[in-house]
Amino acid sequence: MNLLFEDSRAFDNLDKEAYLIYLANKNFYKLFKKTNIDIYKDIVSMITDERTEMYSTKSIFLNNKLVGIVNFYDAGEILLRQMFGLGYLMINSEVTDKKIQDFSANLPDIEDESLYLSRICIEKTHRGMGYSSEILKFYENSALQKGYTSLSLHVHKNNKPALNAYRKFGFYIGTDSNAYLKLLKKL
Amino acid sequence: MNNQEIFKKVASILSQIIKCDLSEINESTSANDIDRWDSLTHVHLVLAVEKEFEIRFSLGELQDLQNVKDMVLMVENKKSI
Repeated sequence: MNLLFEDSRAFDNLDKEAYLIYLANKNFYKLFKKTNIDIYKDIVSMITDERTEMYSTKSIFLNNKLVGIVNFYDAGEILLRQMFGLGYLMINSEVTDKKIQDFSANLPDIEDESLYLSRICIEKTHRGMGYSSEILKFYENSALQKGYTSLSLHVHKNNKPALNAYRKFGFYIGTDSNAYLKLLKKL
Repeated sequence: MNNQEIFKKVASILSQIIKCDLSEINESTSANDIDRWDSLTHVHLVLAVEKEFEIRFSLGELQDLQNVKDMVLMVENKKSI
């Protein structure tokens, strides 16, 4: 397997990347009264704005075909980056769920000074082929190159397949205080 | 675009975001005056203003945006460059 990782913002045509990001956050985006086209436009704006978490999205290619995306950044930047992303979605939108308004008060526990994995999304037809461990290895190498000593991420308690994959890769549960578990891996 | 025109647009955007009457907003209005103006609302306002005027604030500049007047002046500066 030879996966290639490229900065998503480097592409002129971001439609496919935006679609994978859309899939990775579908349930969340449903909280906004917006058309899919408007959501894609927001995502493209986010990918090119260094203040949002989408800016650090990498596109994953296999034999020149886009098969997924991965997104990671410094855990200390989580609040700012997520708020800016949310800001884009809130423009020209009626928010349909009160939990968005409570967002800033309910951010998950953050592990300082770690590289934070925000999301992985693998295109449907390429799932179950063992890419996640290769992606996690890329993520780990990036962290080491940048001088980090730990990795962190959040995963929903009910997402057993993802939880198993992370544990197999060496992550352990750091905090177990709400619906999302904080997972850590020391490097 | 002069200072007053920018103020009118910024005030209009802010009143829509925090759902208040336009008459409640003046140049000295800040987050301290309005309960609903929290950090998330602030980011929403910043992005809506950026979109309206086709400008971008740097992270350093965002810290200097304390009230409506600050935002109007910064938009004016950016548009005059």
